[in-house]
Amino acid sequence: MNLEAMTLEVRPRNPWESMDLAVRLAVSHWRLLLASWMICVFPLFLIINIILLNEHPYWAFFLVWFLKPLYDRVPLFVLSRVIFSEKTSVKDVLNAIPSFFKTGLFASLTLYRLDPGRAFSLPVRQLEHLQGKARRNRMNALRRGYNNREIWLFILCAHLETLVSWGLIGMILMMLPVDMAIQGVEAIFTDDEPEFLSNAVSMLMYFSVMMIVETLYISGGFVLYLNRRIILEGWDIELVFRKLAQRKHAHKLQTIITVLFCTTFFLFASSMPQKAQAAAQNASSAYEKILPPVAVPAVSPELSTETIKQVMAHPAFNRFKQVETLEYTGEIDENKKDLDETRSWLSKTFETIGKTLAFVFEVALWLLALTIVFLLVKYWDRLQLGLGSLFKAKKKTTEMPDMLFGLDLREESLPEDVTEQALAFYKQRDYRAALALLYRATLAHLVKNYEFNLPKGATEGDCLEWVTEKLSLSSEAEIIYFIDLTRAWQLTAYAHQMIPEAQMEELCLQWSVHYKKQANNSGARHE
Amino acid sequence: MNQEQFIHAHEQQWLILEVLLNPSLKSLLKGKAENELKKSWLESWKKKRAAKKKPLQKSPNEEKIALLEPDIIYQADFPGLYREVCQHLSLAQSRRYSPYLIERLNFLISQAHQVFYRQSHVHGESALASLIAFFTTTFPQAVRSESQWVWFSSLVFYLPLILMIILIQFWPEFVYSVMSPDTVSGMEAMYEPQADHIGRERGSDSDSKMFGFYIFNNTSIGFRTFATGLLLGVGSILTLLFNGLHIGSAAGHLTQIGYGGTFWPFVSGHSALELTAIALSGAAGLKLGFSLLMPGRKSRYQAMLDAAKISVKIMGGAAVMFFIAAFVEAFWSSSQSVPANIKYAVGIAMWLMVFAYFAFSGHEQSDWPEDDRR
Amino acid sequence: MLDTIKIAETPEGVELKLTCVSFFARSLAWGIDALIQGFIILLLLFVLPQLGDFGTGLLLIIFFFLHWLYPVFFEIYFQGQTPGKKMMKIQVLLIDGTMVNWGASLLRNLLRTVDFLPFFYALGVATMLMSKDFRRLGDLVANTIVVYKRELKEKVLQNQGETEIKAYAPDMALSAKEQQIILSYAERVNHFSPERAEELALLAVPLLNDLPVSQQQEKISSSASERILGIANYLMGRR
Repeated sequence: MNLEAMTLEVRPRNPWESMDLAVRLAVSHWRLLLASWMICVFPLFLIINIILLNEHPYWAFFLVWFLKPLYDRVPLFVLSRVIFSEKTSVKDVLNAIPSFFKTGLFASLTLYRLDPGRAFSLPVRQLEHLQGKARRNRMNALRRGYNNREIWLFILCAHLETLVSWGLIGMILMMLPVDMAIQGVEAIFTDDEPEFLSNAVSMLMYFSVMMIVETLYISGGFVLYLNRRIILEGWDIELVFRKLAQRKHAHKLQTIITVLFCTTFFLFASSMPQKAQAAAQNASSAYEKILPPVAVPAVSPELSTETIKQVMAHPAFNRFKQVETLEYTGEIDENKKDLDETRSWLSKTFETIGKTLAFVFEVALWLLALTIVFLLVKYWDRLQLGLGSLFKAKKKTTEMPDMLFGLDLREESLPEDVTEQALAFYKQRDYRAALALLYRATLAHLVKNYEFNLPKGATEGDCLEWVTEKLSLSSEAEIIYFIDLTRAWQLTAYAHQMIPEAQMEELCLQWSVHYKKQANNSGARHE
Repeated sequence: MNQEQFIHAHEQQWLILEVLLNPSLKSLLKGKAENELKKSWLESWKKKRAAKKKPLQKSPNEEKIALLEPDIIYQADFPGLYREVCQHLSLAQSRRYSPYLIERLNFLISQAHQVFYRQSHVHGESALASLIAFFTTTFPQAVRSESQWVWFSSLVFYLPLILMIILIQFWPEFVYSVMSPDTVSGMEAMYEPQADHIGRERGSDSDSKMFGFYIFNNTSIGFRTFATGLLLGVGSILTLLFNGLHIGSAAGHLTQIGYGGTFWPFVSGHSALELTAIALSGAAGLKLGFSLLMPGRKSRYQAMLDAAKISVKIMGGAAVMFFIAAFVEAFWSSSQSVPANIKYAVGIAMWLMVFAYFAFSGHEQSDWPEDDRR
Repeated sequence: MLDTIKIAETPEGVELKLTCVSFFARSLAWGIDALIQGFIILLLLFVLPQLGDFGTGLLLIIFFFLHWLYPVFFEIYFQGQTPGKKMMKIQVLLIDGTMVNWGASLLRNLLRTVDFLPFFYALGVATMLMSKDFRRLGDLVANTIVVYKRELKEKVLQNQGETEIKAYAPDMALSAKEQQIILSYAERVNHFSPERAEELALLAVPLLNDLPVSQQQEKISSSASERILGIANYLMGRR
């Protein structure tokens, strides 16, 4: 055995985690596992059914179930090889079949057939080739200080098998035409010998479910077993220590490995089955089917009235007979009467309590509803359910903010001659102030002359979007000017770049063209 | 810095974080004055425990925690501590400190990480706010954003419903193709105008019973309609079709035999909520199922994950609609003393409200937090 | 290497190991929860109908919430653990290792309906077998994962009493994994047979060669096992 070739992550796990790992292990090699089932076990299954199914279907089922320990050897053989990354093919499994019969198969099929922990003990038989007392000692050593979860593994797998079998049968019944399904169910309840075909289908389904669940079960037992050995023998420690040694003193290693190999560990060679199990739950599943809803054929009213009349005319419905019943007319036992009274009084009390509670409940619910409605009405504005907009004017005029990104937008704050002042700032090398003045003057004009919809936190980008998309400015040139100006302002304010003088002058000139007149106009209007 | 010094320098932070993560440890800190008492008590308690052989420790560091002052805990800054301990871990790893120390820090971080990055704040005052936000914005927004599925699902649901009502007016026996005669006669008995219970007020107790039944039955149907949508939408479509046919034939049959006078006032009140909720459950299921069939530019799995996040919101909202519908159905619709015309009016108002709710609400962010400051 | 661990990385770059749980432990947890639910229903079935129609209504409401929202409630308010999961020491997390939220929990529990199809979780089991981290359909859709809840056990070195084993530093740099294994050796050494313990210790050749001078004087015949334990003591921080 070469631990370094192990394809499982070697570390101590708790039993549940081991079972989880087993699922991953089985799933990651599902092709090979299922192929070996089909090639090694399926022929046996076929033979059993050909011989027995027609005459003694229950015996066939029992035999298929009973031979499980034999089949178990197949997945375990595959798993024990793939975890050490040995290349395994179905051919190898076929070659190994004879060896399976030497692994305590007899004991597995008799004494230990009903042992729920057979998946856990199978590796000891099959891989370590231990039998009899040696095997028992080994099992005791493995189980020491460990609460055996393989019982849970067995219980869960048995349930899984039963439930999945039922699920499959149920699904097939669902897909069958209704009549056939009813026949199938009737066959179960009327003690008729179920037909051969439905038997065969049931057996096949049982086999396919068993194939999957049994693989998971064996895999689970195997990984639990491995986990015990990892813990007891410190495989994870061994692996790391070896690598550590390789790292520094590769040459000294060989002798130690040789020593090690002599002392411990199982011989992965060939072997045979043995086992026990107890899947009593499984036994019942194959021949039973669930009831689908019985469909009642639709009948037209006229027709049914006719039919009813005909049927009712039948003498079977027109027989009358006199029935006499006895009634106690004597004295009533006082005690009993009391008891009855107490009882009826009690139940009446309870009912009254119930009625009262119901009334309280209803009132409480109505109150709750009214409270919610009241709160809705009260906080209508705050909730902004949006229904308010039905009744209000749709456009809300937002108050014009006085400041945007630190710029004062009130016209009063602007100097007399904006362009001159801006150029003056520029000459004093206060480029930021120059562009800020120009930009805010522009915005101030726009804000004043157009309806302004921007919130307090709007950015230059928002303004640009607003100007280019929402406003119908008089000319395209104005829009282009605003874009240029915004760009220039952003460069100065945020990128701290200097705008060339020519561009600055151009901007001022343009500003005068666009806004001087407007400013005058609006000024005139104010007067 | 060696390991001892490292532990000495930072252990207090780890302990504080541990207490923050496990509030039950707070009982261990009781202030300095009581520490001595605490210690002796802890000792005796430990002895008792040892006698029972049942290790019931809340933390391996109980004794050290008992030495912490409560004030430190109440002033602690969780995010800061979390980041610092992350840093400690990477330091400890790069300096090859003891694996036990690394394990301890990694465990602490795994706990803190779960709390730090938890997506919904289920504790504290924000629960009400997030509930309100869900119904004022999230839910209607989700429904609007998936309006194509809502319309599709409505089509699958209402078309057979209406078709069935109309068909049965001309071919009354059609009802038996959907329902069994037993069901039909049971239904007839319920709405028969001459029946005993018609015209008599039902008691609170039977109303409550029906309330329970409607919650249990209708909401479960809604959940199933949604869940089976995962099967490539087939389950949702079948459930919607079936329910549409069933409800349609019931309505059609009762109208056709002249029981409309008792039937329609009864259903008008809750119809808006219940039918819409069914359609929404279907829409959520269809969205989920079809994300697998038509993933667009995403991988199928990613498309499904994204769809699921939206559809579960729709389903959650629809579930609450089912609850309200159950309330209306049990306590309002069943009421016999209310004239039919008022019931019709309420029914129509409900439909308008449902439409208005989905059409208009949630266009703006709810401004609860801001308003609270006012 | 086959393993059942999924690594989730936090935004801070810390790796968290999530140990996925397959259907064995999960079905048992489910069974426990089902028993609890069944027991409550049975109890109420006995008590509530005494109250007449109101009791029936209440029973139905409680049944509804038990059926659909019992797992959601526990997963949200009890760290992703229903009582059954708590007993099995497993918990539901989002795939990135954080707590489940309402949306995810609701999704994974509503979709039980689909996992249940066509018969008793057959679809769920099939999906768990096929998916890498044992996730059923509900988990896949909600992007959740069921993991063993991590516990920090107070680890006690078995050789703690034997203080005479002096801590000494290995003369080579050890990786984290190697350190871990040496400590693990010290922890488990009493579970091995003495022969096996010595045999294992002998494997770690480079750790045994250069015994510090002090130790050579004190104990000439210290065994390989004792030397490894000495290194373990050093790694434990008993320097």
